[in-house]
Amino acid sequence: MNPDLPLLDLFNRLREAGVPLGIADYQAVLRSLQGGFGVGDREALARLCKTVWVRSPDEQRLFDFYFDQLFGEPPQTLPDESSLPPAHSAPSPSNPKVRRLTQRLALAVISGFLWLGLSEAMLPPQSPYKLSTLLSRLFQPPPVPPSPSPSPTLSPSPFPSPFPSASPSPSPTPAPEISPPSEQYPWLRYVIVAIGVIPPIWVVILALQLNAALKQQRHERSHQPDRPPQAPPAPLTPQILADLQDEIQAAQAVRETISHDEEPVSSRFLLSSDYLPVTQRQMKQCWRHLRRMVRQGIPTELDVDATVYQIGRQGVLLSPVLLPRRVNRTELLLLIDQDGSMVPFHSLSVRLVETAIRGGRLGGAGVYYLHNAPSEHLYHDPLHQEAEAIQDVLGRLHPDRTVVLIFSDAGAARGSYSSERLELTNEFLERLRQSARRMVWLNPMPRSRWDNTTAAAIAQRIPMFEATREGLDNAIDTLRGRLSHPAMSGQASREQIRP
Amino acid sequence: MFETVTEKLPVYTGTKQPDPDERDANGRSRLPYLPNPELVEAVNLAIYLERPLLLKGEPGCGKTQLAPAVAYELGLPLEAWYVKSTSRARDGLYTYDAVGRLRDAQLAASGRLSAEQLLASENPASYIRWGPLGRAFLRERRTIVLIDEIDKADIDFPNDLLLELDERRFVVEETGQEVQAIAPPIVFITSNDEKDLPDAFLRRCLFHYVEFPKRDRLIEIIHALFPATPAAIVDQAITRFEALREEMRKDKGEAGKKVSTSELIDWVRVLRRYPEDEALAKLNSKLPYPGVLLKSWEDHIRYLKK
Repeated sequence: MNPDLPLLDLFNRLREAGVPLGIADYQAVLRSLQGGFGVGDREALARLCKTVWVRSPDEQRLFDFYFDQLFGEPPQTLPDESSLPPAHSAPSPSNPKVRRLTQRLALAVISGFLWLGLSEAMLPPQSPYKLSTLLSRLFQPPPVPPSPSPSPTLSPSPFPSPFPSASPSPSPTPAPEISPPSEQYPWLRYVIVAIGVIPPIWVVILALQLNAALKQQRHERSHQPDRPPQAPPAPLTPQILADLQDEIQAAQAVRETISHDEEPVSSRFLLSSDYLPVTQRQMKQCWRHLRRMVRQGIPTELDVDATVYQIGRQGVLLSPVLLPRRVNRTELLLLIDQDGSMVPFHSLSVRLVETAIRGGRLGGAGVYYLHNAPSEHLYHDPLHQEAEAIQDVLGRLHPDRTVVLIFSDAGAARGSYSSERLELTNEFLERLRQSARRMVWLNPMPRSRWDNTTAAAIAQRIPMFEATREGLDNAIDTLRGRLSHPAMSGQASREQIRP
Repeated sequence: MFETVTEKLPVYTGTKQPDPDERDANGRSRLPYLPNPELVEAVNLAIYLERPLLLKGEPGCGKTQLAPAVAYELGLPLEAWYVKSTSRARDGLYTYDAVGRLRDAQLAASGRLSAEQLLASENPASYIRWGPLGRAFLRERRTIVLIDEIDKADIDFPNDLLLELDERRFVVEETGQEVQAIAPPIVFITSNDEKDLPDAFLRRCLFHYVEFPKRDRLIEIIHALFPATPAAIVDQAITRFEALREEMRKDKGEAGKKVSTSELIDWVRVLRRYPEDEALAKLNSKLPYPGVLLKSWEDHIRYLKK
């Protein structure tokens, strides 16, 4: 295999973008390459990596983006050659000759500068070979016209202004007849002059070569009209941006939770248009825990222990003891606060709803939208168009199976206290408590912002958590009955009474 | 034994097709399957890396058909496991017939078992019923295992198969017997993407998205299935079909249900029963046999008006 392939880079970038990959996956690709897979061309390699590393269409978009970035653009993608000005496409990295020449030219220019520095340091202050002396001489009418400068030949080189003007000027030829008044090492100046002559000549030769190579390349290109120039980088699709944002924000959220106690969060809050403290992947993982396995339905499973015990008591097998299968009996009612102060969190709530539906966790309950505190109606759609009376919604719930998650800022985003809102909310929560097993409140605002707002008062009545990974985990544990919460004491005692 | 198996890896080419009237063990006629080169490569990669190949794609694009086709070409046995909403991971490995054992114990007590049956009843292992994956592990030859529509089961179902797919071994809890795969099976898993699969499971799979075939391949598929169909009918039918599909794509987007390859095959099957001129006349007028292609009342209303 080719050791130059940036496979490890690609692998690491995919990992950083949140694609769940392990070392075994990287090794699998290497093994496959050794086994003769994906070695034909660029496309074959892309197919191999995709097959091993990519597991969903979303990840595929991420992969395509990074693959194009690291392996260059695919040949023959964009047919519109006219969109790019030909002068702009000067040293294409695809031509190794041009690249080599460009590197050498840079080297020559650098060595010229080195020589300058050396001469400044080594020669005595009045030496006429010093750049400073030469420059001052240039402004006076020179006794001898300077030798032809190489700057016109350099002009087509990819390095624009500073080099041609700097490197030819220290050309030591103009004044060889002036001897320095006092010089400690007379031989030194010949050495320095000799060294100093080399870089400019080198620069001129290389620039000429580069020019020729570029001309040849342009010529080739004009003779192959179907070979496209390098295409502009693939645009980031909104999906990739969304995915990336997810992960970037996750990193920020971690930083914030670590360091935000001393510094007010508000300063860095809402810097970007979307606030995503929990990534979609994390949400999916959290929803997975939301389950309550209950033996229910037709008895189909044999209870071996009970059957053996029964045979022991009866002396003969009359009938086997059967048990119903364990099934998940959780129905989630998701209530999403929409509009107003919740506008910055819409993308977060959309993700929450999406992952809950895809995770198959909603059961018969579903998603409803509300605004601030509901009084009469809940809505089926985010735009508040299809209304349904609260009592109808609650009437359909299975009081023993339903758990409720409310996603709202509870007035913490505006930072105000409203007794009216608190009253309405408490009333609604009381009605909800009658028809749901457990309920939690997920607040997109950080806990430090709840103080002195309606949110703090509501948090007295219902377990309220931040919309972070930890908060969501705790919220779901609470819904499963794993976590006791001070605000839940009423709920818990009610449950103990229930058979 | 493991070494000898890995030395000569079977290579799938996708070119060997059954004869039109060849039948499989169950008497059903074998159908030709024309995979695209990318799919063939993915299959060979799965064989080489000994990892399961997860196939996703639109319904009716031939995900399930791949496993029998590979089994046919490589001449390997096929074990199909059609997952249901009540399936549990262990069902694919084995089930233990505890009721049968109890019954035999009762019959033995009353002396109504033959000596042979009595001997069998003393061995707890004789009540194990192997599932598709279990049978594949026990077979000396490489076996092709199809786990069909894995997303239909509970979301924890794939996670319960991690060890079995990763290390190719499992333990029969009733007898303590450990089963280690003799020859690594070639596993194909299909998913209709109704539920997300857990990351830990996805990590162990290779993934391939089965694309909808291009026009040339559709023509090839129809010719391979119905060699006697006149080219004019095939051409006209596929043109009409693609136009309908394109219209559906515009209306419903990428995610909506669109007409698929399997529906096209059914449609051509109906059309070719007519003489060529009659079939062509039907194709040029209102969409014939819409019930084969349009599966919802809304689709009927929307696409039949034109």
